[in-house]
Amino acid sequence: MQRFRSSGAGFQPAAGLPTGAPRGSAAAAWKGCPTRLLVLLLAAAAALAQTVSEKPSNDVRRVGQRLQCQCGCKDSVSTCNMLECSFSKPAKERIARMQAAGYSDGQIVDAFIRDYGQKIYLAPPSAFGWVVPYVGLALGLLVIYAFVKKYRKPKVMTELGPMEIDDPALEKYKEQIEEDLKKIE
Amino acid sequence: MENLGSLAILLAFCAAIYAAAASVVGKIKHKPFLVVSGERAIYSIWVLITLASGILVYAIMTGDFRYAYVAEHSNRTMPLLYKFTAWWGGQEGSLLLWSWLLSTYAAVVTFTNRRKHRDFMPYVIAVLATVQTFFLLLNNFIANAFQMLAQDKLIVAVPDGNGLSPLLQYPAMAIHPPMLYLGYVGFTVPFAFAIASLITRQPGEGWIHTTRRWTLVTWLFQSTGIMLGMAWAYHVLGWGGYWGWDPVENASVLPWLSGTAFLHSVMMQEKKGMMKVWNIVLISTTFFLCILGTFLTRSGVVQSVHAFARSDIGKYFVSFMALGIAATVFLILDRLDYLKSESQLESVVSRESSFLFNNLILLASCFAVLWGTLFPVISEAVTGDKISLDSDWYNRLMVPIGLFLLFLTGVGPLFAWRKTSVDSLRRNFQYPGLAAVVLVVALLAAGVRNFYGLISFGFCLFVALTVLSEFYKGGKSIAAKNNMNLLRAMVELTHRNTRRYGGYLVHMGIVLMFIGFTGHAFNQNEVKELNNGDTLQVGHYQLRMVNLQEGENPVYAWHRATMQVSKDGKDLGFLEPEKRFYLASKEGTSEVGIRQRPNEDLYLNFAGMSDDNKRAIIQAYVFPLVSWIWVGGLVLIGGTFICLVPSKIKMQYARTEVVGITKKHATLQK
Repeated sequence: MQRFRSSGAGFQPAAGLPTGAPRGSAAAAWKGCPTRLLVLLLAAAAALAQTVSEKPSNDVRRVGQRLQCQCGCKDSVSTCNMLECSFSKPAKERIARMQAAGYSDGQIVDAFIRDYGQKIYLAPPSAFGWVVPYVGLALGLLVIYAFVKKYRKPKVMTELGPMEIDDPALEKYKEQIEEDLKKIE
Repeated sequence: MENLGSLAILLAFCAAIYAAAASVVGKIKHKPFLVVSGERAIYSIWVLITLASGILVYAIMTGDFRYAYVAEHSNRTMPLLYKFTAWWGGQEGSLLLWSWLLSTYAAVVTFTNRRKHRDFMPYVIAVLATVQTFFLLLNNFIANAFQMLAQDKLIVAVPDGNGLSPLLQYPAMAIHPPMLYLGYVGFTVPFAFAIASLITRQPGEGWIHTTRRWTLVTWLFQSTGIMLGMAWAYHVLGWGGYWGWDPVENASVLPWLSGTAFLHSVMMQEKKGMMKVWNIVLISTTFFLCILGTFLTRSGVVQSVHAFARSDIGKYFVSFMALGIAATVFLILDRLDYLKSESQLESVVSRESSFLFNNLILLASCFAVLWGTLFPVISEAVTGDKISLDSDWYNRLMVPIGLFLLFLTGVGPLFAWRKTSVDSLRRNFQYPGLAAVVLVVALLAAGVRNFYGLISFGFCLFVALTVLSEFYKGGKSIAAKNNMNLLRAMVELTHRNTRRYGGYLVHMGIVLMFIGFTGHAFNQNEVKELNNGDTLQVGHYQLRMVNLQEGENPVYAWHRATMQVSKDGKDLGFLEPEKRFYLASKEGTSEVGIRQRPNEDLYLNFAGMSDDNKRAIIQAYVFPLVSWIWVGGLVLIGGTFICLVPSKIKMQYARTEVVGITKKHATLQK
């Protein structure tokens, strides 16, 4: 486990608190409690030193998605957000190291399976998982087809051909009617 | 006072049962006084839950750490704003917020309809009160926010609380949960009206007219809540994304998708008297997806980054949903005769058909997201195989579906009701279509090879031009008639039909968001361990670490890197990504450094310290066009507000069906 070294080379300790940091009675209470401060600082240091694995890169997330965290949660190694998780943090660090050494996703997952057994493996979705949404879409199209078929209006006369006027007295209005119909369209 | 909170929610629970029973019995037995007493019970529920919520908030604000909830989710050093948000920071409080919002909605609905819809309002109240009873049951007996800390039968207080998760101490996150809840809870109102309309066999579209604004407001809250969640993920989680297909994110988008489908399909019912069964099914689906969303957030049945909310509360939600769905399905099947369509489709190329496809695509995406969310649970339960669906699975499914929906956003509104002629299609689409093709060719020539990216940019331009041409054509006509300038004429045009032109603005917002989503295809990222003076190149940007600091204060310990940014040799200033570790809650957070510009964001995350604790690990990302997501979100919200403004000209939704003249009818009787 990595540990925090507060005086590590390359650091420039900040002078005082950062701008806007909350102050007040709690701050005063802290001054009289060096042991508590030390314990919390150690906890903070341990957490900060390991944050590489808390916010993994997309590559680490992709591989971590295939591995079940063994801390007792239901999450994958990528999504377990338990603080100081004894499994997911070292696992993410190991994935990052193996990726840096040139191992493929499959080889990394195989390495974990060798060490922890098949129970650690989270499979990608099966064909069933892929097919069902498309089946849902196809069913939806069928429903639309059935809806259109059921509610499609019977064809009106203008779609059946030229209108036949039985009354010769109305023949003279034929042109006017056809013009009006064109305007309606 | 600690007992008063418990007593208030217990009395509210009794009042909710009474309101449901009195309303139904009063209506059936024709006893108006019982109906009125049911209405008054609704008001009393609001008073009681408001009192209980006030007591809880007061306890949080004053740091009364005798309450288990206050000790768990608050502490003395939290700023006042986040103390208030601790109300919904934990399970018990957030369920109390659910109840309070529902009681508020119910009281407003009861008051605004006190002289209207007297024939079915008792059933509306009964449905609202039944849902209220369920949540008050949880508040009282399953997740009580008023439990006290006790030792040896004596109430005791801890010196300080655990505090709210630091991830939640962010301005957008302060209002994200209540916005989502306003959306979740709000869909109960149109659902209650739909069920009441079914029970009383109401003719016509009364329930739709009454609830249109409720639905729109609810949809607005839901949209705003989702976008705030995206902004929070982008700015706080530090993994450089705004959407991760997390089950709880999915839970929020499910009712949004079905609610969007409902908002579109009600127009078919208003205009043509069609899809009556479908609209009842859609609003019921939306309501139950809201309950499912709350269930997923609260039960921990699926993997989620929202793990802080887990409990065994799931079985109560499952029972409630099973009973509710069974009752709704029975009612719909029993009342099918009253839901017959009043007209028919005249052409497949018509506005009616575009609504059908709009509904299909929205529902298909809703189903795909629901399937992706629940499939790992189903798979493990049935086959024992553990499955994990990553974002690639969702993206492969949702990107083509989303692009088709984007296309429909452009073409749908320009189809005419009844039938669209070929001339009309050519007139409306030839120039936007041509412009889209030219853009795609230009992008190809510029070296863009991402297939979906090209299609998306083409569709975005196509839809934007069709929307703008609608404003231009309408505005030009008004400007000519009234002798006013084009811009003023466009405002006048929008005011005359706010629903239509507000809707176009919402579509424009969606286009802008898609521009932002498409930028994702061109993301770049680099990760490097840096010491003072070291450099990192990402895209056109050169980054040099000029300072690495550490420190601590009473609230958190921190590491901060000062990065000098330059692009193609030009100095652009400094970004300061920071890593924090909160001492009370023992959680880490990232304060990312972002340089936001319309064309791209430079995003720096302080990922942590190197193994030897000497170098900072900096993740640098370039996110092209991501700002357009937020701009699009604002346009969407603005457009929805415009839809809510009453139109200057009252729109008539008279049935427009034209009866065709057949040979038989044209023959004159002599």
